[in-house]
Amino acid sequence: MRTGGTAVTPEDVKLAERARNGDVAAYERLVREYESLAFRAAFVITGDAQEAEDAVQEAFVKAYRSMKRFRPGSPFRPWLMTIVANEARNRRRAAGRRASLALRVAEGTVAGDHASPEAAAMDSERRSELLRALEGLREEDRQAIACRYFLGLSEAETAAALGCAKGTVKSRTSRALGRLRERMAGEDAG
Amino acid sequence: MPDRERDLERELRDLGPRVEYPRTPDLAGSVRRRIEREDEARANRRGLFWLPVLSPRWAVAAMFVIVLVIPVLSPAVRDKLSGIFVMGGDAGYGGGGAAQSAGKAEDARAGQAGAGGGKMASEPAGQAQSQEDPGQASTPESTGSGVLSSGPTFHSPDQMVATADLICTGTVTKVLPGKVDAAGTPDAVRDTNVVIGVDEVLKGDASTESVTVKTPQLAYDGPQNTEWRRTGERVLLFLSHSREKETKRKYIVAGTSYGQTAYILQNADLVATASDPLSRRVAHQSLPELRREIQEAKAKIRRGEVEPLQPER
Repeated sequence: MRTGGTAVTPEDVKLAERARNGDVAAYERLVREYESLAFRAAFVITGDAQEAEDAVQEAFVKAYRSMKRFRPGSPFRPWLMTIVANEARNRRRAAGRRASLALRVAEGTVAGDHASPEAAAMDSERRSELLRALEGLREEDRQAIACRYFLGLSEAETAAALGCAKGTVKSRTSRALGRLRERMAGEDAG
Repeated sequence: MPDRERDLERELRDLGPRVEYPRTPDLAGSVRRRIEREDEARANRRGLFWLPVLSPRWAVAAMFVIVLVIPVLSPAVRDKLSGIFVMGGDAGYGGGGAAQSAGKAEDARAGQAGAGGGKMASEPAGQAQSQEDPGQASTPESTGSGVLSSGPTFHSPDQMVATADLICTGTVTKVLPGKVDAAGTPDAVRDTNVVIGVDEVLKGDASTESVTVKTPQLAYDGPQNTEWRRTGERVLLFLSHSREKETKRKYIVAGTSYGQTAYILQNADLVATASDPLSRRVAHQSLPELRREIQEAKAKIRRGEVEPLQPER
């Protein structure tokens, strides 16, 4: 089943229902399923690992306390991501600074995908270029790209994460892609 | 959509799994432990409440209904029920809010007298407190400056941080008269509403720009010219949400009825408004040092090592 662009798995529905009835073990399983995505999303928003960890832990506890307000059968992930993103944005504001998201390609993740070391090196170089170009974008554009393409969030989830409307996500993503393409073209020409 | 745009999107999607993020911490375990600790603490608190089968909200509603209904019942029923519900012996069933207001006024009067020196205590408040939560709340005591304490007293900065809903620095922008408690009686006392323009939030809703703090008129008048409720004064306050319906958008100074959680800021230095050992210890630090201590306390709270004090009822 898909609702609002996000799949609803039967397992999630069962776990969420049990968590709604106070089953902490069921909730722990939900947390385990989504902790990585939630942490990465919080990291994209805060730009700081410690802040992200604090925000996600707080958000998971708040979500548990709010489970009675969660509509049974609806997708858990976007609901959770909204709480995580709110908490992360509050913390970024509390820290009184703009997030400075620095991402890099993990070493040794591409070698097995290629026929030759040369091809692997070219791909690796291309990816590094793409990340460099991404770093040159405005913070809000970078966050939109990271949420949509790196974290695989839906438009609705990205809107919740960035605290803006779905339409804004669409236009911001499109604008960010345009700018990214220009920068990549500039690098290629250079 | 043009092919090159699709290509770029595909490249970005391919890049996603290869991006290096900080290692995801083990949140599932820590979240579960925290939930269980909080549930346990809640259960303990609920056990202290005199209607343990109801949630506090419903229990308060039930008490309210009882207070309304008792006066219209027959004298015999009134006598019988009052015998059941009256706690502490001499408080009458008709006392309700008036008794509470009078108690507050009494606290304030005692505070004024206490400022002249000597240990004074509001006995009814003290008795009620010790009945409700002997483990958490201390009995009334002098702060050492002659200012009376009649609420739960903090024993560490960690407790202050855990109990406060909002910790902020800011400047007093307005000092306004508030509602009158026990109006028309010799014990009448007017609250003071202090409006603070918030500069920095150290705990709580970071978007807070301004808060109104409800304070009893006679509280905080320390003997060392440490009154913070003056327009233009820069302050650091540990605040709790007011639990009274008519002032629920306002804050009160956390925990106690004296200045253990209210400080004046002079540049980066803190000036205590009470002179008990904890206030002196807190004020001994600079603001940056206190900021660090608050951050550390928040980490302890997240780990469940510190519990908030019971609010005054």
